[in-house]
Amino acid sequence: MTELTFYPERTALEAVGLGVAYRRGPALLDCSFRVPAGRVCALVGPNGAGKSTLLSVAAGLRRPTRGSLTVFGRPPGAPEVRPHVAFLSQEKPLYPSFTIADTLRMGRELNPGSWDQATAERLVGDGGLSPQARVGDLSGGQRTRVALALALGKRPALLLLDEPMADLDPLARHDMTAALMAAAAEHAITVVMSSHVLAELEGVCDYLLLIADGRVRLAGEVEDLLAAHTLLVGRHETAGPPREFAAHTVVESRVTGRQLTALVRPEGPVAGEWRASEPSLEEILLAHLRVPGAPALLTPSAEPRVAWKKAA
Amino acid sequence: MSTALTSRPLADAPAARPATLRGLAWVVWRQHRLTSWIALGALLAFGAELVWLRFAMTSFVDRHGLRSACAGPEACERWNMAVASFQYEYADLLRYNGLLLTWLPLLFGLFVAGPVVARELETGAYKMAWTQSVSPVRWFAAKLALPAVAALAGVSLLSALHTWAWRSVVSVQSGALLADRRWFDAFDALGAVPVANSLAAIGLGALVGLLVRRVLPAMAGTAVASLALYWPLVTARPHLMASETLLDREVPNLVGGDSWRFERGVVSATGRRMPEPDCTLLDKFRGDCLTRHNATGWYVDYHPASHFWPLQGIHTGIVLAAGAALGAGALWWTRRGHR
Repeated sequence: MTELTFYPERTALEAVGLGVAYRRGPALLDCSFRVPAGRVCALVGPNGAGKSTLLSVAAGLRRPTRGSLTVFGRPPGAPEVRPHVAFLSQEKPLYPSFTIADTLRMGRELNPGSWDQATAERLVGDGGLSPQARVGDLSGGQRTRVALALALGKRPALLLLDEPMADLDPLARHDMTAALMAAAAEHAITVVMSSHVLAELEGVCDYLLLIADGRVRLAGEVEDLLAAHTLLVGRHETAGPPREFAAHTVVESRVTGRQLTALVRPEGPVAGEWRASEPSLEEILLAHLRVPGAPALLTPSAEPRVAWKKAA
Repeated sequence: MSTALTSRPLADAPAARPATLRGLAWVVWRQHRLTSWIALGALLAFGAELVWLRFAMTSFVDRHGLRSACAGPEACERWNMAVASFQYEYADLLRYNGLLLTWLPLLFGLFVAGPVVARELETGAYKMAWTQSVSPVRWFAAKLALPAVAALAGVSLLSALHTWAWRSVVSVQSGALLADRRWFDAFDALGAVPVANSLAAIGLGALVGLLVRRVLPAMAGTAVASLALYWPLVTARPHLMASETLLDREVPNLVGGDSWRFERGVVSATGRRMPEPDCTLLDKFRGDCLTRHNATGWYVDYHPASHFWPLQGIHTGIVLAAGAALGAGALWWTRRGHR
């Protein structure tokens, strides 16, 4: 899939009006977004936001109830994309009776033509694991390592990871993240990884998708999202929002005594005496989660292209 | 774009590799390796036992001269003792062998429903298996192919051996040796029926396993569904093909040599039938029963022994069709939710 290197504007994932309903209720509602190829995308949101559902749909394990999701322009699980998408689900299922060597052989047998035994073996070997060890005897972190080796051995163009580091200790988490990022950079893999722990993803991901209550709240390059928001602090004593905010999008404003702190998306220079600073990514995420009514923000690269075409 | 995605070269040619299992077949075999070895061992032991039983029975019959009638009270006493001894030593054993073969298909159903299908869904392993390069439908087909091949090869062999052993003695003294294992008693353990039943059980187990998604409930559900589906077929068996009828003034016996007498009753002058009329035993023999029910005589519906193979064929056809429908349903269900 070296082709991808030369087409940074290719679309890895694109959702238009995507809805998924379970018997107990909807998990995703009218989601539209786009993830360009070559990105390392963080899929964040509170527990039960629909992150796992979204990844299952992208992996071809579940069909959408409404709308569509495409992977490299094809429906998930289509024969053309199936060999190029790897998925690591939250529980890291493997066959417990298989040895590690058996598990890697399974990867080779089920992915003819793309299997990279060397990459998979290196990842397992770096963890000090014997190929003859039974998967059922491994610790959670070791299992994650084998599951990741199986996923990377497939040489995917798109790697979907659902809470990949959840059961790892900090040291193993650091090692695995480094191994993952090295492989992603080396083979130009688009990565979409979910987590509800932001610290796990910060500094690793250059793209962000925030989902809450089944809806997309933020999508786009981390840099652009940071640049689009400003944290304003100043004195404010009258009731109601300051008049000079009317021209801008206020995500959240809080008053502590006489001091007002607001996260806004400025549409130009902000009048008045406000101390402006760039918020941290965490501040932006928390503000959007605390205020469900705040309008969603998709940067231009995160707008689905299909929807543009339809609108035109 | 599609060309970029599909133009990956295929696997390195399987050059000088020894003839081993490849691809999905290897994965399925590796998953159920222990069960497969145990099943193979059981198959060989059961098969060897049937071969031994066949020769033990024929040599006993020949040793005691049971093929010819006895002459004289003393000889007949010895003859009777030999028959009793045969039934004690071999007939029961043959019956248990037959029962094992009758219930073997259920074992296939339980195995497919639980360990083969539902365990993948219960443990979530399908999320790994179904996101490899092969599609879930192909993966599922491979999972069913292993037990199907085992049923075709193994059960065919066992059923053939059992039929062979059974035939070697069933006709001795018009069935005196195997009085309760006539062709219609042993029907489910003879010929093609065990094989067809096994294949149908695999289809049923696959569908139930997919729908129930948990190992033990899926196995229990398969057991219940097997009996619920098989019972009507057993009940309908006499009517699967046209039977023959015997009319008599006297009360006919329900045991009639090689023929399967499955219904008896009285018939009126207009041809109206009344199965098993409410007559006391005494009535039956005095003939009052006929007058009381305004009937002209007795009838018995039966299948002669020559109906054995046609009935086997019809049964096999029905069960195979049902099994194919169930298996197709399982594949359709897999396709519907995924791909």
